[in-house]
Amino acid sequence: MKIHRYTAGFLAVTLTAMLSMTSAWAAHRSDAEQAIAEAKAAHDKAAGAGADVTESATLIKQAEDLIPSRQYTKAIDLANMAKKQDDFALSKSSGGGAPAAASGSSADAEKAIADAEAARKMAASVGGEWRDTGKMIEQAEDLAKAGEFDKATKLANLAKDQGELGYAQAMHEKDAGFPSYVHFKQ
Amino acid sequence: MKKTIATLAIAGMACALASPLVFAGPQEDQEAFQAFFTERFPKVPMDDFKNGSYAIDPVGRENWEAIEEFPPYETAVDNGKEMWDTPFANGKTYKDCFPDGPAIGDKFPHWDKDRGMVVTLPLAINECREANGEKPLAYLKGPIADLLAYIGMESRGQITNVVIPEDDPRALAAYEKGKQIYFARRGQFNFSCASCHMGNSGSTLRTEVLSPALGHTTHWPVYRSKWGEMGTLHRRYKGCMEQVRSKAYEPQGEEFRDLEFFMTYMNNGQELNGPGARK
Repeated sequence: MKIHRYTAGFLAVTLTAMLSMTSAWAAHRSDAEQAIAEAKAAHDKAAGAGADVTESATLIKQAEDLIPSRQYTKAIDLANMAKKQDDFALSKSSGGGAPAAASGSSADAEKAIADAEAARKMAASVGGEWRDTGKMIEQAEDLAKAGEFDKATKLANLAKDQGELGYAQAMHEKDAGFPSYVHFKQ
Repeated sequence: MKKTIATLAIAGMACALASPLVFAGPQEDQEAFQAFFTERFPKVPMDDFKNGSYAIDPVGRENWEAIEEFPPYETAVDNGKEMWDTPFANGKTYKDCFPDGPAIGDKFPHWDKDRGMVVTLPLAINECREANGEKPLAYLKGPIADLLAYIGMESRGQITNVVIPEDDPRALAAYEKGKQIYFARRGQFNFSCASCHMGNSGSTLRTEVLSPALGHTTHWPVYRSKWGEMGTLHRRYKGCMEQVRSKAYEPQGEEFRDLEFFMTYMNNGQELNGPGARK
């Protein structure tokens, strides 16, 4: 297929421009380091006010541990989550209530998470736990600690569905054997 | 009279059809399992199934044969030999635990009647270490894979021969449990081991040719290019389960040992050719 001279030139210019635009969407080390610094500042502030900051400290450490392997986007996500948790913890300890961004009910989130964990354990008891259920519950807990109760509830509900489906699947498969396309001598 | 004869004939047919289902045991399972693959891949000689997807993928085989000229598991074999020859702190060696070693690949997995469980080689290695005051090795990769590579190399040519003792029903129960694990759909993707490695063996999944289950247990541990290092059979089990988004069982836990027991029995008659190199 012969590429017209102008088409080839247009492609070359476009691709070169796109290459230089990668910085628009790729996370840089400096972005991750800044996110971690902000998270640490929020952490220190919350700790200074007597709030429980154990969980966010773990998240900040996880973010820092990702820097050497250049997982900057993931590091930023973890640092931002830690900062949200500490901001929320600070606002609670200073009696300011949930930040403006918080929505939903903490009781609903707590119940949804408890239900999800019960469903996960039920599935695990019959060897039917799915890979991501536990992680989803942890993330729901993180969201609840950050005051994002609606998101926490939604995620916990998805985890509960996985637990229930995993249990039903394992019970359905408990007598699994050779499929019908494998023939035995008669 | 005619009605009686017809009724008896139908009852007889029903019994004849049902009888394989009633009486199919491990031997019948194994015959059906191996026959499935020899029929699915009629051009593959029986002694080539041990080479996995390279028995059915000519391009992959060409690449693999080139890799085997300078096998990536050689360093592991050398390290493993050093481990085998180096005494523990108490002066004993692995040879004291495995007098027939290092060529002991064909002795595992086996049913331990005294303890009522399947014993695999990695489990036995760690039990040897702990009995001699050494720390157990991690089961997925690292030094245990090196030692297994050396034992595997020394065991090449041995023939798989797992025995399910008839005088211990617990052994049959472990086999049946392993069989159930193999054929049970699991995970968010609802796949079983058989989904890929029996019903879709030879098909292409993304860029890879799905290997037939016949020959699966012969060539461990494996240097897998994707891992960039050696890994054990239970490491692959874990990866497969997680790939279908199921939570994996514990390496060397009862479930994986029973699964290995079933799979290796299905591969009885296959020649051991570990350690292996795979994509």
